Amino acid sequence: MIHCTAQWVAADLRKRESLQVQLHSVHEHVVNFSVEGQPRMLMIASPDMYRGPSAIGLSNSDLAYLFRVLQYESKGKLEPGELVIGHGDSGIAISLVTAVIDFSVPPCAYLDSSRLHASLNLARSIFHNGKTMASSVNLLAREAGDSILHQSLEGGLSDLVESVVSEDDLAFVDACRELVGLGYGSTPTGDDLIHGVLLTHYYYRSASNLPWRFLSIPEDILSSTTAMGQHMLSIGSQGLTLEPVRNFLLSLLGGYIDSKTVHQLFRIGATSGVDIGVAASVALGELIKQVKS
Amino acid sequence: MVQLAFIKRNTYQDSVRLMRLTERVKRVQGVVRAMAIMGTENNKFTMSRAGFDVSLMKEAKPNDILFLVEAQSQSDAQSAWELYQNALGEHKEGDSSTSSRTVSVHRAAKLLKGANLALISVPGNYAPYEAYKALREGLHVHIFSDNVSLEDEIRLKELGRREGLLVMGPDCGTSIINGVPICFANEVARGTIGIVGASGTGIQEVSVLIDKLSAGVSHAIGVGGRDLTDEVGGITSLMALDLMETDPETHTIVLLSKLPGTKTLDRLTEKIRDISKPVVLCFLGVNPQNLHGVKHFTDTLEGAALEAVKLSRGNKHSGGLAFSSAESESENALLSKLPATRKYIRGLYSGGSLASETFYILKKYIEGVHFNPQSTPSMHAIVDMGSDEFTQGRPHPMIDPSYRTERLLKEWNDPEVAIILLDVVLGYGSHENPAAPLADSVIRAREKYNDNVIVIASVCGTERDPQQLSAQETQLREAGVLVYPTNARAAEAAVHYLSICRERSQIQ
Repeated sequence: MIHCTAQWVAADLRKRESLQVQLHSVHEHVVNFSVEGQPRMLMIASPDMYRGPSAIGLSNSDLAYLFRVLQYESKGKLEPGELVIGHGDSGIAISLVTAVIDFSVPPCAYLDSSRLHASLNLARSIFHNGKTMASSVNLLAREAGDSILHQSLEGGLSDLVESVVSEDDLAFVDACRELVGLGYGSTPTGDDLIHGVLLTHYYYRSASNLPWRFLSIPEDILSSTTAMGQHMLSIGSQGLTLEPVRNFLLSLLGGYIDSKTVHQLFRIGATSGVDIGVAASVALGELIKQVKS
Repeated sequence: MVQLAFIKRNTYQDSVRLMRLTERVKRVQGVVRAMAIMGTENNKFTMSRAGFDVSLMKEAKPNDILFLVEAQSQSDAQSAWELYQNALGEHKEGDSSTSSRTVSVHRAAKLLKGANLALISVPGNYAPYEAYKALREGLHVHIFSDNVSLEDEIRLKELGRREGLLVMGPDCGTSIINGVPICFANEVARGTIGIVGASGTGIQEVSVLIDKLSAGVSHAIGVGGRDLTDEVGGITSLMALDLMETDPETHTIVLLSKLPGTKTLDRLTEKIRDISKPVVLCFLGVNPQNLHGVKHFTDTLEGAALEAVKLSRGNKHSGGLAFSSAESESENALLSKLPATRKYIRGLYSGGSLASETFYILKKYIEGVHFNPQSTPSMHAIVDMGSDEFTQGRPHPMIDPSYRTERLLKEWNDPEVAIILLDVVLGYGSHENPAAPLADSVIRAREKYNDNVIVIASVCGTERDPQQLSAQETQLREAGVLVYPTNARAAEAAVHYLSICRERSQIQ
């Protein structure tokens, strides 16, 4: 068995009890494991991948070894201080006694009310000029077209934002029912929109020193989407998000948004980053109107 | 009408791929509607609302891809499904109806019956061998690869000539064959003007300007930058001219190049005299007095497009034969910010021919203009950032604009720079939104340093290009860049502004 140490570990993983994991999917820069009894994934990422919750960072050489030992449906065990994948000579033990990164809502984010509108407008214009393949970009301009999928996404996003901004739990669950699993891709657009709206709500209220609480998504709704969709919804409802989303929200609220930050956001998935960013823009527009900081 | 559903178990595809796939399948003959989505309950519900039979979808689970098609017949639906399988790399051998993956030219030629052109884009060391195999399969060859030796180029072109096959390249960035853009090319209208060109962005600029003048291109054949040297002898150019002569769709021909070798130029002018169709020669930076017996000659890409369109319309100058007017920015407003100490032009180009065109235009009016100098202190300099010295180990600036944006900041910070010239090249293969990083860089430079530099640009592209011409121009204008309709106009504008600066500093 090869022993190595992770370069970093997400703080939410360190809190976990012992958990069984099973290989879910392998990509160029990340390996995903499904976690027994959990809607979240465990992700092992290379240094070329953005960082995020429920994830571990490995050096490229250690990741190369992991790739060699992986087999179809490889199993492993996540302990508080160690992740073990495989057995004996064809196994790898990754120590998690390393740098810990917290991806939860920052308690005292900076909010620049005077630049909020300008920041929001700039972000929107970058979206329009950016990845137009993302179906949600049209929602931002209220140009949903006539396809029934776009109509459903537009209606769902509007209900979602309204329910989240007003913290109406029942309406939020209804909106989730409308949107979860809706759209293209392994993380359907609807799931990304929910993730983006929730995080924006949490970050805005936190930065405004307003009281806030997590809004939870019932399990039966979570299970009606893809595994990756479940992961994004599960972490999002707990206020956890990927580093590019976190940076985007902090710069948006702080009034210092720039195209580099937005393009880092675009790197998430094929269209997930754009979908999350669009959802954040729509939600922030409503929060500014309805919830005074 | 037939509705079918296909389920691919536990398969993930990203959303862009599924959307693109859906768009492709919709274009299959007989297909009325198609969707490729994950089999979640909400997607199934939405598709049932859209009129798809819900019973077809019941087996799909959230982690499955659900493929739905409504077609005029069972066989049309089946064709759509086969396209889908092919796109996911699940093509079955022996089916030649759609694209597939293979590792040999021989197998590719067998799989894709009726193909007559091979695009070679492998490291230069291997390109001649692959091109040789393609020629042996009876295919014309477009070699995108660079770093192919001159000896190999000559050997391949001689073989091609014997077999009656074109060898386009090596280092051939652009062609448009029967309306199909190859490598870096734009979506331009089809028409009656054929282009033969030894330069990629030269072909792009001329084809785009022809489109802007409401005319169109029959074919554009790239020949590679060395074809018109005396060593190669213009083998591909001469063959391409023969093809254009016999092509019924082509009525007018444009030939673009730097000045050919002496012997090749003689052969070329002799060939042009024999051709029954009007031929416009465009040799960047060449004095027409040096060319004897050539009827239609220009030394700018813009001039080539204008002349070709005029000839294609029976040599008549129609009232509409002009590009839209240039920027109407207030000269005084711009120049008032420019201190007298700022007196040099710097051109940062992604297109080699566009850089050359600018260089020769500036040289007509200004002394001391340098092309690709090692360093640029106290001089007018035009830099082709797509040349080998800039692209070793990193992508071409038409794909990755990052080092051009860095250079822009550096030039802006030079206290002697008055004007920065830029090109933005759109089309297939180029960056998905090339104006954005440049506009961003201009804004950053203005914030970081000063507001004392005039930035002038032109965008080589059409509204139908993936990046959309107007969207790109708008981004640049919003960043305060002066946008001109052609590269030549942008260069002339730079000369104009510089002359005003000089007059003003003399008065002061």
